[in-house]
Amino acid sequence: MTNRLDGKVALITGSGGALFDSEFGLGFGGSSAFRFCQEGATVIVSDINDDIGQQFTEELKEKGFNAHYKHLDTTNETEWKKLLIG
Amino acid sequence: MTNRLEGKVALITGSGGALFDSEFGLGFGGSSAFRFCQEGATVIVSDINDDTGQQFTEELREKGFNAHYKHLDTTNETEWKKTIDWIEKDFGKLDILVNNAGIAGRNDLFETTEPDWDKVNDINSKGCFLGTKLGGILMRKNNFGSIINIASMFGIIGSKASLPYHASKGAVISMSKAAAIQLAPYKIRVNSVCPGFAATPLNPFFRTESESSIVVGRKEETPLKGFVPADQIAWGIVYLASDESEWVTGTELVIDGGYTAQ
Ligand SMILES: NC(=O)c1ccc[n+]([C@@H]2O[C@H](COP(=O)([O-])OP(=O)(O)OC[C@H]3O[C@@H](n4cnc5c(N)ncnc54)[C@H](O)[C@@H]3O)[C@@H](O)[C@H]2O)c1
Repeated sequence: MTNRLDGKVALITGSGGALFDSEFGLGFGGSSAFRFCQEGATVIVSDINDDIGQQFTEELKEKGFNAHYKHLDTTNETEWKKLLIG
Repeated sequence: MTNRLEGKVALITGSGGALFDSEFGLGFGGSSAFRFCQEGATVIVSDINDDTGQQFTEELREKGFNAHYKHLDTTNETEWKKTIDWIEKDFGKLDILVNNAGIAGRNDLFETTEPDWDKVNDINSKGCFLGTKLGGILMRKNNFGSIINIASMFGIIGSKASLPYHASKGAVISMSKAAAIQLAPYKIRVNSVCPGFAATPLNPFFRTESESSIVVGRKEETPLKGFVPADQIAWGIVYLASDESEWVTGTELVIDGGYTAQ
């Protein structure tokens, strides 16, 4: 694949719940994170499952991708603000 | 771009009505032919407008693409059979069929005569049925295929502007769903694309009367404010044609700048 998302910054919620070789495969978030990376985007993986989320992000980085991990409980406005505004 | 359609053979009806520098731009068929070529497909351009169709195909070839021209009146089953036989003989298979040929129809209920009804439904709806049937027969031999039927957002909603056009496009959407179910055993997918208002050769007045209240109104009523570029429709068609949409069948992809969300 090439650069269909070159230069784009993307946040994907719930994308850190599984690893590449997880028993039940990646979810939609993780699969999207992988394809987004392949297409040239900077991807922010986020989840409430920080251990796996961080490991999955590491896996993406090891493939040479521009991936970052952030904890985000999507039901919590304070966390949204912290993530998006700082 | 790369090879999202590499090795695929594609037939696009109504794709030879304009040239790259035509006054009203390329239509959806021509734009798709160009993107398909860029993505590595062998493309059969077809139309009833043979002069322009042949010239457009030449333009594609000059760019180094694998393009061919074939006359095809989509309302004529005999011509369909001939075209499909020729494709089988010369290319060995058909992977992608875009039933794009269509006309506009601007007459409301009381203005519509029986010939008006027949004409728009023949080209927009029957043409699509014949293509799906004849194309499906060849695709079935290979247990593979993607059929993309160009409907319209006017197949989903009504308007003051027309009646038979809505009927013809509604038929395209629902026949695509039935065909998707009936062709699924052969791994042939069938989807429709529903464009919003686009300033293609079909609607020259969108450009020539750009200040008129109907044209300004249509742009304003579209949440993204303006007409959908033909190339945006082409990208949607590329997606449905490619293996990226392997599990997408029996649905409609609406590309209308938000019009039908209202
Ligand atoms: N432009 C819009 O706003 C719009 C919106 C929604 C849907 N559509 C649909 O998109 C499709 C493509 O239209 P377009 O806007 O690109 O216009 P277009 O006029 O460029 O394309 C239609 C093509 O179909 C060809 N054609 C007409 N009758 C035919 C027949 N019997 N057999 C074979 N070819 C025939 C024409 O020569 C022309 O090249 C049509 O089905 C149209 O109804 C258009």
